[in-house]
Amino acid sequence: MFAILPAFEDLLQFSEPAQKLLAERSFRLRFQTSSGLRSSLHFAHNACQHVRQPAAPSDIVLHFLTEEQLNNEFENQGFRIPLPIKGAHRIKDLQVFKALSRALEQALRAQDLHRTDPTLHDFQVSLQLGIALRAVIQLTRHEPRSQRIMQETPDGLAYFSVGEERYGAWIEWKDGHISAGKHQPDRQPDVSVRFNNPETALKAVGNRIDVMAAIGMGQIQVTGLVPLADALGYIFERIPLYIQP
Amino acid sequence: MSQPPSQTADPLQRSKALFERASQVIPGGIYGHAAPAATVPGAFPYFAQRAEGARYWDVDGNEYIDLMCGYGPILLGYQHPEVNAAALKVQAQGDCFNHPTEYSVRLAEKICHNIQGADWAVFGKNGSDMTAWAVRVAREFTGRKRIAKITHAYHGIDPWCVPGFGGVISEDRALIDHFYWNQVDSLDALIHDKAHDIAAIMLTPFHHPAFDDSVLPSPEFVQAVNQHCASQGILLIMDDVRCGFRLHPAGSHQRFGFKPDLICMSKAIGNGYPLSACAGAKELKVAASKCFLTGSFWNAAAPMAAALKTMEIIERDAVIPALERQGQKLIEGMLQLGQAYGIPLQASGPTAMPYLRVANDPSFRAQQALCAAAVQAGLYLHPHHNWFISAAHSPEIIETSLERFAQALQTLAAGPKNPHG
Repeated sequence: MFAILPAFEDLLQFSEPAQKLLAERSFRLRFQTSSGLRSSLHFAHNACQHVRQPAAPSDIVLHFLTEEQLNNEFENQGFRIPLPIKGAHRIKDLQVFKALSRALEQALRAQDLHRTDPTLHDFQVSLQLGIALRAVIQLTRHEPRSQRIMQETPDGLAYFSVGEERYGAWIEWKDGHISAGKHQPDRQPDVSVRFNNPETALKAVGNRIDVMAAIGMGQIQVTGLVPLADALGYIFERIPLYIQP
Repeated sequence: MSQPPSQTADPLQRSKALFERASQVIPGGIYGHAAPAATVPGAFPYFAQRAEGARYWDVDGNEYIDLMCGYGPILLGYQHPEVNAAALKVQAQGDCFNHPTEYSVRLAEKICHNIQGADWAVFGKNGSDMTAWAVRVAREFTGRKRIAKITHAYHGIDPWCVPGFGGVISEDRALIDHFYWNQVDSLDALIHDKAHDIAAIMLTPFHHPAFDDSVLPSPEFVQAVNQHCASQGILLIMDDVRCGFRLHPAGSHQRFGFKPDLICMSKAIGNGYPLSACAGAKELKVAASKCFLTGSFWNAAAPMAAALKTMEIIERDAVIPALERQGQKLIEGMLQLGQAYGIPLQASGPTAMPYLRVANDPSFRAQQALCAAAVQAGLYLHPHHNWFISAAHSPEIIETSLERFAQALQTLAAGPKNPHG
């Protein structure tokens, strides 16, 4: 909910086809669970804004009985159909959202884009890394195992980048709180993690690579406060337990 | 002809090629404390070829003065002729039998004679074997379950204490409590809450965490540990694996005043021959006998012969004071050089096992660059782990070490560069 839904902001910002799908439509769509989690997407003016725990009412509300049901919806598996408790009559808006979801999924899952469409590949990497970054934040805030990992980790600022300073993002762990942002941080990071190319980065955050071997071969360079990078690395590797970015 | 690495175009070519091969057939390529990720990948050598005295050569033929001593085991110097001769003489008769040999008995007797507080001894191969077993002995003897240790202290690779998180579940740590080194309040609080169920406190003789300075125990901390253990029926396990035979001939606990019930040793015990030992007080012998302990290679005689010779040489040649003297010269020299080059340095730990790093460098970036430059100049320094002095670090070796360190400081002072080579 808080890792993947914000990706719609990027989708509408960078994808002309997605903007065309939305056209001039304007609506607010909320996802919520029985436990009280809420997240909404505000579509308007060919853009999208994600709002966490929204207070304002939405035009369409999709209710999931459990978090597992919601995750199934994102993963396209298992029982997942939500209860449309408001706005079920807004058929056109729901169709547009479904089309945008397909576009997002295609952007995330398309294969070999680095060969066929470098621009789209660039966007794909940015989307996937953005989801991974947000997922790490959520895991650190809510998952007991990730919380235990971070409790043993020194405070510090980590900066991640790919190749020549592309897709830069930072994560700060301080006084028991985690925060993150895109691009270079305001101060020198305590640890820098540089992936030699996007494929290495995606494999690393997807737990599909021998990270220690990659470091030894220079495919991933870690400089500075290694224990911080180590801990965050473990949490990145837990993401596939919940979602496939 | 071998030479320090800085004089060839790609000084680690063979190391890197071998590592690529390794990464195909070995998880991580190189795993554990020797993993490239633990130092500065691309700048540090990956594979060793041979060694002698205080030097070793990597697979590219680069020569280094070694201030890690194999991460501790090399106490007298690589390829010490007397130790090797003792081991090889026994090896020639066979080394892996259905039974132990007389060397087990002789070595146990020697340990009981030399190590204060040791009334019996058992043997294994690695420090982890002994620390894990000591925990079981403590639980057997006391009937209690919990083990207390210092936050960020390293005691081996058993799930209860292994660094990292891979394959570790919450149940592995459910009975492990942590407190802070030298913080008597944190120990007092733990004892107040859980003394009735703590089987043992495991400590190193001084605190030597990775990515931090070494810290000697304060007298108040030693007193508190001893008092709590004695009054609460908690066993004190001294993990002397890393420090053993470098700080005090009767056990590192003697240097600081700890009163352990169990003492785990390894690393330097046999000058590099694979061996570990756990020694204990006589009251624990029956409980110890009930804790199953074995390994296919644990009765091997050659490492035990090596250990006997090593312990003989430690006494004969007054090795431990020599380590301290040479370590003192090294560290003083390094600190002075740092000042001369405008790079403030800070030193910690006993001089036989010093740790020196760039001051005011909480991210360790400057430290990594300094150590990478030192390695390229032919001086093997670890950026994140305490160092070790051996008996082979003669005054001449110390002098050459300082020359190479000066070279490294010069490189660092010249400006930033990618430490990964």
